[in-house]
Amino acid sequence: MVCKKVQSLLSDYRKGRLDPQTHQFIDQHLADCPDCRKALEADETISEFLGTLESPVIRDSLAPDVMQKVNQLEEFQRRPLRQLSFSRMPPLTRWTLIGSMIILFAVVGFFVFTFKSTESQYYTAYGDAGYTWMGPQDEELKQLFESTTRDVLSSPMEGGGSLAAIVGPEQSDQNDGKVVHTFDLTVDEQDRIVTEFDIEEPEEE
Amino acid sequence: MNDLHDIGALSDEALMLHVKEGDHRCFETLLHRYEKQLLSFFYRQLGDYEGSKDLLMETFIRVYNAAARYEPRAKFSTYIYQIARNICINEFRKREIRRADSLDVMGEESGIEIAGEDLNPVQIMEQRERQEMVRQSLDILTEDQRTILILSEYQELPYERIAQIMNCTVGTVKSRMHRAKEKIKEWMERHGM
Repeated sequence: MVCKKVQSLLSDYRKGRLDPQTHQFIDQHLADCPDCRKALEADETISEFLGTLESPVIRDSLAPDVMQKVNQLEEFQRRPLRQLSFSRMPPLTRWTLIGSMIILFAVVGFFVFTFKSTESQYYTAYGDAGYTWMGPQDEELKQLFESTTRDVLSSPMEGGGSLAAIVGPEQSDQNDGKVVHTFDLTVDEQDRIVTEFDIEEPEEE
Repeated sequence: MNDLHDIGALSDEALMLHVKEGDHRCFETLLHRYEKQLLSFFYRQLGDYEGSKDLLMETFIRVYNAAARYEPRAKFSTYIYQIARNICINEFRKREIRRADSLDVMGEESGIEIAGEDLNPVQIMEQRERQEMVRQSLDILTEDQRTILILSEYQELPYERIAQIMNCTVGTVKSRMHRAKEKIKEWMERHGM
C-alpha cells in the first residue's frame, strides 16, 4: 500500500515538486525498499527516453499572422452591412450567399414565367360554352375561334388533358376544306382553357 | 494603461480581461507567452510542424472570439489548454491521424530546427531516429494518456492543473499517467531498450 503511494509520487519526487516532509519520507522509504528503487530507475529511464523528443526551435513567431487575422475579423465585424466587401467575406459565407441568391432568382423567375405565360395568353370568354381562350396571342386564330361553331370534340388523354378540335360550321370527320385546330386542352378551376395546339392546313381537294 | 511595463506585469487573467475590452496589445502579450509551449504541445501530439502551426492559430483565434464571454473562473493556462486539447481531439477525429512517419517535415524552410544542428550528420541522424522512436511509443497511448503524459513530462504542469484541463480528478490523472508509463516501458522492452 505504501509502495503504491510512493511509486505514484516518484515522478514529482524526481522533479523536486514535493513538499519537504513528503520528500524526506520517500527518501527514507527508498533506502529500505528495492522495489521502489527499481521503480524510480524505470521512471528515470522513461523520462530520459521521452526527453529525446525535444521542442521545435521556432524561428518565426506566429504572432504577426494571428494579429493580422484578428484585425481582419474585427474589421469585418465593424463594417456596416452595405459596405461589406464581397471579396473579403469568409469563403463559406460568400458561397452560401451566392447559392442563396441563385435559388432565390430561380424561384422568382419560375413564378414570373408561369404567371406571365398564363396572363399573356388570356382571351375573354364568350359564348355558351363559357370557356376562355388561353392559347397564344394570335389574332387570326382568335378570330377563327370566335367565328366558328364552338363544337368542341374532346376525348380524354393521358395526363388529364383532352384533345379537342374546333371545326368549321359543319361538323365533319373530314376537314372538308376547313381548317381544323386540334388542341391539348386542360381546363383550370376558373374554367379557363389552357392549351397548346397545332394548326393543320386544309387538305387539298 | 499606457506603459508597456504595466502589461508585462499583469497576470494572464488580467490580460484576458483587458482583451475582453478590446485591448489588442494584451492579446498579443498572451500570444507571446503561450505560443512556444502550445506549439510544443501540438507538435508532440501530431508530429507535424505545419499542422501544429495551424492548430496554434486556431487556438488563439478561438480565444479571441470567446473573449467577450471570458470569466476568470480558473487559471488562464487551464482555459487555453482546454481549448487546445479540444482542438487537438477534433483534429485527430478529422484526420484519423497517425503521426508523421518521417521527420522530413522538419527542416530549414519550415522555420524550425532540431536542437544541436551543429552535430555531425551521423549524430543528427541518430538523434532523429531516437525522436522517431519516441513518437512511435506515444502513438500506442490513448488520447487521454498521451495528453496527460505530454502535459506532465513536457509542459511540466502539476497534476492538479492537468486534472482541471482534462476535467477529471487528480486520482484519474495519476492512474492514467501510471498506465501510460507502463505502456511506454513495455514498448521500450519490446524494442530492446
